[in-house]
Amino acid sequence: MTPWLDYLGKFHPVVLHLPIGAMVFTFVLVLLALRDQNPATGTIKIGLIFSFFGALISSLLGYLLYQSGGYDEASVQNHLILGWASTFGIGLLWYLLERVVFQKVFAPIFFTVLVAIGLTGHFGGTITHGEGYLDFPEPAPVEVAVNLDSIQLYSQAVAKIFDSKCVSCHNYSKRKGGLAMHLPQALLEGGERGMPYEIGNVAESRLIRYANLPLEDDLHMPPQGRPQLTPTEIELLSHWIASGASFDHTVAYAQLPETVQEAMDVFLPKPLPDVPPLSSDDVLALQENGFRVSSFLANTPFIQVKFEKKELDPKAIGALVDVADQLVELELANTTIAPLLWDKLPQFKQLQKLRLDNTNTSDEQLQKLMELPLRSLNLAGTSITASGISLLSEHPQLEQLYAWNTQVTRQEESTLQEKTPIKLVFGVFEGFSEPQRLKPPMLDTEKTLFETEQLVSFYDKVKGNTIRYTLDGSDPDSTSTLYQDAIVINKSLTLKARVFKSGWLPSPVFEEQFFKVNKTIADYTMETRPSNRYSGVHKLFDFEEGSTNFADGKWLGFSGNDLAFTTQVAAHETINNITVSCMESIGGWIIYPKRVRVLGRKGSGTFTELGRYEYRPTEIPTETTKKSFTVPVKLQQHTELKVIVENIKKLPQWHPAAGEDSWLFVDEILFW
Amino acid sequence: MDPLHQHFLNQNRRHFLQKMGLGIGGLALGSLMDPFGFGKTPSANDLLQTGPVPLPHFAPKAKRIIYLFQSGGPSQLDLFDYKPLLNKMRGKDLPESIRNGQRLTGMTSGQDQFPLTGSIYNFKQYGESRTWISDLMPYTAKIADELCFVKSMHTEAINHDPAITFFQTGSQQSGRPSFGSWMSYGLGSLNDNLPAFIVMLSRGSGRPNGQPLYSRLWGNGFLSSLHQGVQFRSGKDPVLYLKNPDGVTRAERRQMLDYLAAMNEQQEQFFGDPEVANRIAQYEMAYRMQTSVTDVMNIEDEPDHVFQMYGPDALTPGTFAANCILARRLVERDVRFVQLYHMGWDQHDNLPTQIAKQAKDVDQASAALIMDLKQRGLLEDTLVVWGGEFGRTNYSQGVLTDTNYGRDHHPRSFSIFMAGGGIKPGFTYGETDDFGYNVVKDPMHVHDLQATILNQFGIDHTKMTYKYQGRRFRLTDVAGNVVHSILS
Repeated sequence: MTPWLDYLGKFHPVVLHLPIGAMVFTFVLVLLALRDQNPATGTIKIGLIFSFFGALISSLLGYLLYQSGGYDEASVQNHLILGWASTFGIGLLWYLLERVVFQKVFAPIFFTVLVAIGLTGHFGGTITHGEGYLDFPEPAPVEVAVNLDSIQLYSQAVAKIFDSKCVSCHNYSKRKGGLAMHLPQALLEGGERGMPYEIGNVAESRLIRYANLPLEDDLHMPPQGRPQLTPTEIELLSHWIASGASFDHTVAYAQLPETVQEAMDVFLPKPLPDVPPLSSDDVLALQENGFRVSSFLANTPFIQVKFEKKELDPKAIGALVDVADQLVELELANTTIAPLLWDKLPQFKQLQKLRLDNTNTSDEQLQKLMELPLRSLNLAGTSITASGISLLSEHPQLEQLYAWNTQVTRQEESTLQEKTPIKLVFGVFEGFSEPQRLKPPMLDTEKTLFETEQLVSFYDKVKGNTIRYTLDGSDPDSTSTLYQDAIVINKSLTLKARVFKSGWLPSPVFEEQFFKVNKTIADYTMETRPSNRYSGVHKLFDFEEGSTNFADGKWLGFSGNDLAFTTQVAAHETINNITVSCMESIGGWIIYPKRVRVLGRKGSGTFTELGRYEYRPTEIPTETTKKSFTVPVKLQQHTELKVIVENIKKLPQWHPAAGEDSWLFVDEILFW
Repeated sequence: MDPLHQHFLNQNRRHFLQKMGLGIGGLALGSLMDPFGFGKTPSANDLLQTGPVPLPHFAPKAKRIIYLFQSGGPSQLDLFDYKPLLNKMRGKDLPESIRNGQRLTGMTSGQDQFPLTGSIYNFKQYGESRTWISDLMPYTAKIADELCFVKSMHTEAINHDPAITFFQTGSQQSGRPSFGSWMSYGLGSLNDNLPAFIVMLSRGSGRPNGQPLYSRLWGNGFLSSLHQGVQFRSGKDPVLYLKNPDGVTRAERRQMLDYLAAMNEQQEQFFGDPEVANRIAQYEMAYRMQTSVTDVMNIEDEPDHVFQMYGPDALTPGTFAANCILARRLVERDVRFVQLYHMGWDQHDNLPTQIAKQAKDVDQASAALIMDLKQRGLLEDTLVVWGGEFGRTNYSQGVLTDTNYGRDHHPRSFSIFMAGGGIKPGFTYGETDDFGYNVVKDPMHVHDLQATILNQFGIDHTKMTYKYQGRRFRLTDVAGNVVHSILS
């Protein structure tokens, strides 16, 4: 391809508008001629001939431009094909003009060709200006303030500069010089000459160098005739490159050089609307009338106000009206509002958030809210209905509307939401309202060992609960004894109880064993010693049970050795069982005993075994638990008993600390 | 406000109180009547300034926060951070290229092997956001689209107390003010009858005898004692010693406090210690709390469907679920900072059984709290944060069996979630590697989280400072960046 052909291609944009204009004008002539039975086709023919040659030349030049490169194949395809098709179409019209019925055949074909020309122009425009050029600009959100402590230079300014000044020629579909600038990745990929900038080095960055070249220079960017970068924008871009060209790094506004701040100001949200300053008298008046006033934004007149009394009377409303210009958020929840408010409300021109939940607001008043610039409105717990919500659905600014616990029915909820982009919140019960199982009851006392009798009461703080219990070991149901006052227990037994409550599934069975103890051990001789940290042998016989916390002071601990002691038995004492209460905690290296042995002797004879309990766990324990081991015995004039609780000594193979000394923990030993 | 003005303000309050003996209401009014002592009229902004510096710096998205602190270090690998590779490589040793010299606690540093273990629990994707959540958290899964997960949290500490202290105060060494205290100091209270910073604790059923928590975690540090967190308890007396003794009427209590205030006034004039004025204010607050606390803690007036929503635990005072209902009642009354601590997340051994119980303790109630706030219209300006002090390792502490494993502390990556308060819902930020060990994308340091939370309250974390012993301190110390990507 010779350079002059390349050069000729640049005239494509000059020529292409001629046939378009001519065809539109010819179309007007065609429309005028439609009325006549025998239309005069002379001028129309001239128009078509002019358009045809214009289109032909334009298409040829366009092809040359395309050959000169720099265009994305895919996006040029449509333009190219439609361009040639349009040219051919115009030629066809010229041929058909005097050969077919004007009204029925010629005019419709003419219109079709015109549409093709229109589409060609559209695709051409997309190549030049980029995708989305024709999108209607969305109204810029009005921000009240911006976070000046952390400005993202790239996303908040640099990208916006690129978008407005560079991306029309450097984008995905049109990569002039092989470079696209619409995305960070594209910048990093660079073009034919590499990246458009060198991180940290402004002088060596082509982006800045080209922008600073004289306008006439061929390398100057953006090219002559295109919107140019302003000096402050170049300043900002230079600063961005010098400071590392990061895409996500943030910097405080105050730390930017003054010139950069100036350039940045253009991209920051608009300043606050100008409203009169707040007077201290107004603030005092609000406070006297029961409002809590706070700054919405420091050093600005904008305030948020919350009413802390129950009756919003006309006097209080008067105080509010005095700050109508400055009020951004108003909270009137849980109050009774005097009707005067609704007449005054339209004066609150800055009001963005209004809480009317649990007030006497109803549908009639909602019309008054339509003029306010509200973004959030809370009507939960009021008597509004679906028609009120329908009205508010048309609100232009509203984003959130809370209507939980109102007169709106479940059926209406989804229909209402379908009709509006406003987020309606009606309450959340999905998946949170299935009947659930109650927790088992809790005892007020943890004492389960007693000598004569024991009063037992349940911890019951919840209204509507009923507790039913049995003392005979059977599982309680809805016919079992109703718990009312403390239960008196005077023998060893198992207490079982369940909680019932309407709307809930009954609780699992709670179970607790109570022991009536027949022998108080006061006199004993220890044969082994507990560890110093968990000592105090008397605690074994004090009827005080320990919790699952081994350090609660009620447990005795034996590290690597057994618990063994002897005690005297008097003739009148009846003892049928001996129970040892132990703990197991893997993390605490505490394991249940492997066996409990009870021995007895008469006088000073030798000890013989009276009974034993062998403990053979079937599963590896995982939790901290308590367990009682009971050995039944039959005494025959025995005068002394010996109890041996055998430690397993070494932690077993499955334990994380296998081989270390194991602990044996016992809190109570009972004779009953 | 400069210190000289502050001084004159104090002078004036004193004189006023002397005359009227009115307590804190009087304090406030005193400053209103003639705050500068020279007959200069105050501007409206002077009247509205709650703290020592003009705040908020920018328009706030959140006014209140409920911080559901999961004490002990919940296992992110069993709750939120789904890593199928760990299940595939179950039992294999953790490659050194991944561990990369990470220091270990004394509890696993002696282990010869670090056998990788995935979660025994299944994960599924939920909501439009397709968030991965484990079967342990069915209710949280239901509200996945309300939540913003951060899977790339990392911290500096490897043990509980320094790590919690770091989260709460921005420093591993104790002694600095707690998060809530900073907030109370900077933004003041929204309700004169309740403290601005309230703390409630609950024991986890997975590990009921885990580490205790120390009250210094909600201490005011070097800030005025007015800003310290107040612990509400679950029993008969939510605040200890708040009730009048038998036979003392409210009028008598009032009279006593007035005389006490007068005497304290004399002391303050003599010594000039501002803590005396604080003490007077605290007595006054306690007096008002005698009625306000009873009102807020009385959850029996809640309808039954609320208890159903929060789950059966909510019927039992002192549980996490019951505390969640209380937390909602507190933010309804505009308490600025409500902090719940749920203990027992320290699963060194028997993780599968323990964590299931822990999750059951908190799952339904946390989710219900968020949805309850939402339906009441409070979620848009209340920030809910859920998370612990660090994560847990991807390898087993102790012996790994088919059904059992434990996990040690892991500071390099863990997950938290947030909701409301202008945080992007249905969003996940950050990523860990396939081993769930290191953060590979968008890390978020503890200081970044603190900076981001403060940002939601309109506070520039670099500007809210307190000068103490010659240095200006701040919550984020000398670090922290606001993570804009998670803001809506």
